[in-house]
Amino acid sequence: MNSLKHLLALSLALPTISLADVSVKEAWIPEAPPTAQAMGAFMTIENSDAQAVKVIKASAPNFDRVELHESIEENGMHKMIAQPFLTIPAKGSLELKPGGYHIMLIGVQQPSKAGDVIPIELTLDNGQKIMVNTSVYKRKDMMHKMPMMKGKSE
Amino acid sequence: MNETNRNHKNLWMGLGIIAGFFIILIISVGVKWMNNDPRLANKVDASVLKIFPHPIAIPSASLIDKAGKPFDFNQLKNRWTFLYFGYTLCPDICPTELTALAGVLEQLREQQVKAAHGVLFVSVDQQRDTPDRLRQFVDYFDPTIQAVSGEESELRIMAQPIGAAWDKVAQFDEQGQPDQNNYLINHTTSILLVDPQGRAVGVFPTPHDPVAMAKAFTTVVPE
Repeated sequence: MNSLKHLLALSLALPTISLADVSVKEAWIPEAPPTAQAMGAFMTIENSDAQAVKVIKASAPNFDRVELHESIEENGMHKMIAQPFLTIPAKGSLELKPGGYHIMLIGVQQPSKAGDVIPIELTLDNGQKIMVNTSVYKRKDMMHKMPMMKGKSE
Repeated sequence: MNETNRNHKNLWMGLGIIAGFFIILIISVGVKWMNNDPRLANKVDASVLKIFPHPIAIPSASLIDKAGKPFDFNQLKNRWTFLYFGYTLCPDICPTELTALAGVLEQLREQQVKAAHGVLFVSVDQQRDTPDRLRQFVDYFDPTIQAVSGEESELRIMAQPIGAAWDKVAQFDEQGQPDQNNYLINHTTSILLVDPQGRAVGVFPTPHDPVAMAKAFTTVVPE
């Protein structure tokens, strides 16, 4: 996990955008196979405020729609469940990661390749908007750094 | 006359001994293969590869492969297979799992593992996964990965004994109507290990770390 953090810190300097008390870091999107109609976006959202904050909406150009999702595994079955909002706890953070919470970019209008940057706008329940420049990476390269997404156990 | 009889007797005795030897050999091999070697289960970390107490035969079903040809279940024979059920429009988990499987193949190639092996991706989304889509999807990860799909009933024949399951989940359009072409599928995420006799002998539970999986494979599979 440390090596991932280093990798991300080095290569994802761009997306670290801080507005008021909520900031986003380590934002990335795995490159999708050519058949994909949807892509997941992952990031860590930090909240330094004493109040919890909710992400109530995410949007991105070149996609039909964007949803907030959670992947869960129940009795060995994998499920994806749309979430009305994501809560970032007071003085805490929420990690969006494979096998957990993620932003689902649905209806790919234009295929993205590793190296592309997709701007994702998050809307908070306090009306604030945060622009996150999210880089596309080859999934393989990220797995290599993270001896596999350990899901919830990490 | 006596000489000939004695010769015959010796010949029959010899044949009997040879036949007996083969019968014992066949029985011992059979017993070994009917049950998984219990020592095997102790050799690998069950959180990486869980060996089943008994191998589970995978029934043949009528499926179409990524080249649009009927899939010959003999392709599951004479080699080890990593078997995974999913669908190409699966947004997150299937690409992650196929990346892991491509990683296992890469590991085994790097280690020059001689035991024949391959990956089979079974799409449970026959409605949308045409052979062409299957090919584009798996080839993106590793062109040696085979992919198949088929009628729901045929898929269930193959999947049921090995516990692979899935459920279609309708998605609703803006008018609140179920969208016929835009649905998700909840499905099992385990990767099964199939032996050269076409029987599932174990399962790789999630999470799937290609390095650990390749190590478990080389521990279990004789060179």
